[in-house]
Amino acid sequence: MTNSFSSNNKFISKLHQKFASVTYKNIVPEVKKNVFYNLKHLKIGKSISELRNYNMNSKNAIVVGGGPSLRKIDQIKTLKKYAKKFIIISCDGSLFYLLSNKIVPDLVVTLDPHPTRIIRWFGDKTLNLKKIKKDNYFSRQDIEKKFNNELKSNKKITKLFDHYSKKLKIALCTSSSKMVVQRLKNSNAKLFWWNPFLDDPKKKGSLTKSIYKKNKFPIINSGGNVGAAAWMMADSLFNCKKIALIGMDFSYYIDTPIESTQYYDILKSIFKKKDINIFFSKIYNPKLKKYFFSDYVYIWYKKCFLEMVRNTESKTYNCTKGGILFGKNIKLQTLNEFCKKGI
Amino acid sequence: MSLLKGNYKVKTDIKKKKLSKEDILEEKFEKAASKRLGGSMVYIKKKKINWDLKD
Repeated sequence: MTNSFSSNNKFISKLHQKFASVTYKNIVPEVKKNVFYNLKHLKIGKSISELRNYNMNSKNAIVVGGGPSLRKIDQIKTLKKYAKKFIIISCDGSLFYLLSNKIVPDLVVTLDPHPTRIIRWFGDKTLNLKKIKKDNYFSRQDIEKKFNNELKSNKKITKLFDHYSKKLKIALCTSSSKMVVQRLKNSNAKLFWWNPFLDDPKKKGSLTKSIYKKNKFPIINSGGNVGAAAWMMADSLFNCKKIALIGMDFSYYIDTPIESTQYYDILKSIFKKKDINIFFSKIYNPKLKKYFFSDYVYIWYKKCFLEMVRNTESKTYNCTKGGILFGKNIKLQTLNEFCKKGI
Repeated sequence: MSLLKGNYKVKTDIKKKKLSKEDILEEKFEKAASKRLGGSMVYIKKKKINWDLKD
């Protein structure tokens, strides 16, 4: 069944005026807790500044996000063919997809401070049915179909991650949870710490500045989400001149049930069911000549991302073939075209 | 805080502004800020990488 969303851009834009402070309020307590816990474990990794000279051959980059198009639009053949010619940066949520296809990314980025969910992208050795029943985040969503059979897929990713961990480099944000840090600490992956921008370090009483003073790791603007953070690594850590994106939808396919969207459960816990639709918007992608729908969070991510792209010299090519990421400074291209021209 | 009360009635009837449905939802949204309603991380405008706080 197709969702019948209207365009709720006006309401969503109004929400976005308050969005920075809302995100700050609900994220920062968890971030602070994790940052201070991680102070005891800094020696398990190095500073991300160690990777500044990693891209000696000035390769261009392909950033792999975990959006629904990643599995719907199969680009794996192209990716496999050209992987070695580019810097491949994976979000934590797309690592399973890449490793399942025997592609080892140059860097994996993780940042979300959630205490129990993020570890699942690396395989949670303590996962059991009781924990799954407590949180249906993975089973109800369209993010990674293979995660629907949770115990089975968790076993698979655990095995895959352990198998490849020796070859993996992980950009580990100091905001990462205790569970993620413990999991990575006990693996063979090489870890590279970084701090997130939480406020302007030049301002009096800046939390970012106080965190930096404690661990001295570089501060990186995440753009609000792991996909944008991965792009930022390509742009400002590896200095790639051209950056391709795949799996960066910032939206859902129009036939996705609203219940399978990322923020549905939280909205349901606060608002009446009949009021939830207003937090979603139907958006037309003129290049693909197709409608998608998005929620207030992904639309905010898109806004932030477009702003980040505006403030840089590198060129960004959206090769996702789905979703709502279009606009000034975003070139739309197929991955094949990008790879042919971008070497 | 002490409250200063006038001893007269104003001529105009001051009506409380009626909130629209969207305003109510917006208010509710703001009040629920302790829940994970926002992004995965904070976004700060015009920042990229700050290597050592000197930039």
